Amino acid sequence: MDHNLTRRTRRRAAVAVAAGAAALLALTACAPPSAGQNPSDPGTDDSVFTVGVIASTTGFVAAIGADMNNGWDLFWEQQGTRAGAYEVRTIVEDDASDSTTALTKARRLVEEEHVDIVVGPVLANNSLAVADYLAQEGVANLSQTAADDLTQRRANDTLLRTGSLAASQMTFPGGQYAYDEGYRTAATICVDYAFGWESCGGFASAFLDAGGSISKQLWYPGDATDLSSYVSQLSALDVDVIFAGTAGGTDSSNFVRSAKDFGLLGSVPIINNCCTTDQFILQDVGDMALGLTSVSMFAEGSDDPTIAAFVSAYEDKYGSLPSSYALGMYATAQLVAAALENATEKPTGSAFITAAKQADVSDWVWGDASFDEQGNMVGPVYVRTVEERGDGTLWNAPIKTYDAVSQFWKYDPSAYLANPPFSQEFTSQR
Amino acid sequence: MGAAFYIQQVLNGLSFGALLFLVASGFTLVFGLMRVSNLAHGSFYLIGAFVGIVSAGFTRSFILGVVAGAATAAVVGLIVQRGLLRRLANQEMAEVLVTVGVSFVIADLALVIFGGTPRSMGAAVDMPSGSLEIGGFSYPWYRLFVIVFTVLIGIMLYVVQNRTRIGAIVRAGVDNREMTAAIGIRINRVFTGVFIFGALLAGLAGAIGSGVTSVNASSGTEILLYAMVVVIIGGLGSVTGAAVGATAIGLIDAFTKVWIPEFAYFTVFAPMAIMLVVRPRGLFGKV
Amino acid sequence: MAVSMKPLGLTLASAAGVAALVALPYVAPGYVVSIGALVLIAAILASSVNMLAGDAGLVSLGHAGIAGAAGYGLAWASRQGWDIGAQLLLALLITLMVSVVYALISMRTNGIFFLMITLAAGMICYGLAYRWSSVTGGDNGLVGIRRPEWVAESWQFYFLCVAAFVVVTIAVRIFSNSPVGLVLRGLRDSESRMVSLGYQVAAYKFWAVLASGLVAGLAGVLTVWQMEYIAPNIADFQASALPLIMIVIGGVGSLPGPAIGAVIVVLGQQVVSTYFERWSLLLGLVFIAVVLFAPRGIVGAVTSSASRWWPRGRTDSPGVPPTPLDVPSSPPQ
Repeated sequence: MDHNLTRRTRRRAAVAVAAGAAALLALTACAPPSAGQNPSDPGTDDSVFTVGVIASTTGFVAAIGADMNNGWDLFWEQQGTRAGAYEVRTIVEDDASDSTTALTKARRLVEEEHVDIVVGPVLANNSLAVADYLAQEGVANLSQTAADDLTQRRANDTLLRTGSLAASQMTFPGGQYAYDEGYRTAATICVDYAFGWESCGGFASAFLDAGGSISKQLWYPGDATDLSSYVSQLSALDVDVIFAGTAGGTDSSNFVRSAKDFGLLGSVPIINNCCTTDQFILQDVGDMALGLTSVSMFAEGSDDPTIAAFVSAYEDKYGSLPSSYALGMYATAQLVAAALENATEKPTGSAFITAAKQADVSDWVWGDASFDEQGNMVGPVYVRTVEERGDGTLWNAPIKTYDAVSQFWKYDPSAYLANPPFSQEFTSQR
Repeated sequence: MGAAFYIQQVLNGLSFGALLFLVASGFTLVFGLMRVSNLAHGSFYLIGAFVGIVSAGFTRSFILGVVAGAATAAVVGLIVQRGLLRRLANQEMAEVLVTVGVSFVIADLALVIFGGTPRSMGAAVDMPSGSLEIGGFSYPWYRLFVIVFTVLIGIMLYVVQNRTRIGAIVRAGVDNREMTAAIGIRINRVFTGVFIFGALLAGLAGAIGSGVTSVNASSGTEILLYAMVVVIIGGLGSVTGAAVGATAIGLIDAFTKVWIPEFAYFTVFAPMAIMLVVRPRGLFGKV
Repeated sequence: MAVSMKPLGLTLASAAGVAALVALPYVAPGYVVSIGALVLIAAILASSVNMLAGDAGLVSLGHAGIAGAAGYGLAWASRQGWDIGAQLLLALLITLMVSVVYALISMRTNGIFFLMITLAAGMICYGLAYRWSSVTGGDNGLVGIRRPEWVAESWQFYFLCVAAFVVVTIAVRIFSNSPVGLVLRGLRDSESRMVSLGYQVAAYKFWAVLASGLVAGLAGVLTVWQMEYIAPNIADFQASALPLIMIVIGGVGSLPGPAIGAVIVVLGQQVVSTYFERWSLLLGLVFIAVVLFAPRGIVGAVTSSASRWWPRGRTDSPGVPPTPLDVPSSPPQ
């Protein structure tokens, strides 16, 4: 081995590297021409309003992504793509159920396509990352996810949660309902990450406030394939009611199945969050879900005329019942159209959010909902039960409605926000 | 928590372990005989599950579904072995890499053909359901069936391996490939046969497993990772090792979920890492 | 073998490449530049895997775990409000710790066992990232990580990535041609021979894994700065498999292999996927085809005197180096 050669090479290399690094660092002072431009400057036609939709059409929530696109498309097909003085143009990007891809697609939509607003994504982690980026760029984001913090500690004036209610917002009424039904002791099982903590947190806070007590709280990992251990622990308990907060994926179906296998279904009342009895899960588990109670922002079996009209239009076009994700996108589309209706100047960024908050949406599928200061909706939450429609299809029919539920339930917003977010350590507002 | 609860957890562990055994035994035999670490083995599980579910729904028969799932996995195994692996004979790393590619391809195809929604056997067809109830103890019949069925398969494997000619050939091949070929055994045929059989077992596991929990496009990778742990602990090339390892991992997994669910990955992969450092051959390894 | 002709062609080609990289922000829009940064970061991670796979024949399926650990260290420190120097120091410490663990558990293994143990280590890192939610934020990850001010703009950050990539490539080249690199290549060819020659084989592997871990840690830090966000999928199975796919497609053990592979895979993921949904199917098929028909990857297939792209020192077979993919494997000694 010729050591001289190595040393010479090394010295040369060191010089090259030093020179190169210095040059590159010097370059950071020479901005390229594109640097001055605000990437979110719209470069296109003033009469076209471009919406960037980030949906998960591939990956493990691909079914949700498809439903979301369906809900969005249904609205524009019904009403045409003109809203006010604008032609609404939609660009859909797939985030492959992955946060890096979601961020890159958001970048693409903003910097290359110069969209005016971004709708979605739906997965909580993707949404948090994208919302952070969009807030930095000043692009309006109409969020479709239930992650509490987006309209709490991360609220900003370019974000509006239009496609969902906050996770704990939907489950506070569940706790109240449980107590009102006469249950005094409870156990909970929720998926072990933010969405699960928030679902259980809502139930626990309201239930404990009303006077109930919780003897055990189980948390299962989000990627668990087999929930039998957890469910069998639940069946060994002696409580009046069980609350289940699942994530809406394989875990939800597995929970229902295990609950049946281990004799939980039918022996103890179970109150579920939205996702455990969402349409996808019902289609998977079938009749064993009959009679399951849940709390959510949407009940496809409702006989309210606006909701029923949406459900039947969706079913006519796509052949299956809509999930809450489809509803969220449809409602968002309604809102976008209404916001543009009377706009004299193309609204973008926080101006769009203001216009959206003030817009008057006729026949809004959210019913009697309005926006609060943080950009979240104050609206109805339904307690639902799974029943058969008559032709064998299962759906969730509302049995009780809580009107004007706020994301802060009955708590003072500033006190609430001073508390930490829900977690395994902080499980209720008490 | 009374005795009934602990028995339930043991049975949970055994039923999961049963599926792992089916998957791991195929993997370990293929490695022992052909020195191929088939990272697409999880894909056979996936194929067995999805094809099984769809066929069961179509024919309204659980048994036909399982048979169809296992058979399809076997056919895909044949294609992979004959079409790809044979061309790379004796290039170990290349063989492993090719199987990584195959698993990517099959996972994406599964997404295209079957969609992203989780599926399960129970949704497609009426399955043996209901639970064994003794006093306060309740346990689903289907999981008990999975355990019993797998034990029978295990016994069958043992008998075949130790009492039949083909078993002797396979054992000889695992011990010394060159010698076996030298005495006139058509070793290539044996390779293909064992590979197909391994794929069949994995497909069978998938079809049966889809009745226990839902499956989706990433179920293949998940089960493969667990199966690899089983194989490392049990020892490459040994079906007995796979049985012992599967039982151990199944039980560890079940009890971890009860006592320390945050460490579930850790408690499964750490033994694997420890075994690789301390005794890389595994408990009963032949390689 | 006499000292080969001064690799003028190599230097010129590299200079041209660097010039092109530097010119990018001046000719392309901001979005393209941010993709460029992604490609460079992916190439750095792929290089870390290449260091072990090419020279030592040790194929790792778990390096994303090291990158992820470094990234989480940086992100956590950033959220605590530490200043940049302290953040980087923590990331470095964590990288070292995790790399040492990887090195310790794998130094007595090779071939398929090395693969499996690195896979296990990577999965443990992923599991920790996913489950230790009080520190890592679990599935939601950690949001709001900000880059240092002097690379706040995306084109500035891009130049940082170019600099990092160039430094890493040169460092890897030096490493390969150093005495350590030679010993590793001897290990790849025949471990028993090296043992009988008196080399402390395990020690060399230890240092090699540690060195490659440092490079992976750098990639992790850059990833967090690029996204200003971190989530557990930075360390999952796919994150570890993709660098391997990149180097195989590019050319295992070659110098430009990681970069070429990174360009193909990242462009495919981020750009092609917009127009063609079944991108990952295509990637899998391309990968299989490369392994079957072009085991030296694109670099090997395209260049005739391919030896110039591989580390020097192979004296006993003139011309093209062996296919790095056919590593004979035996259980650890």
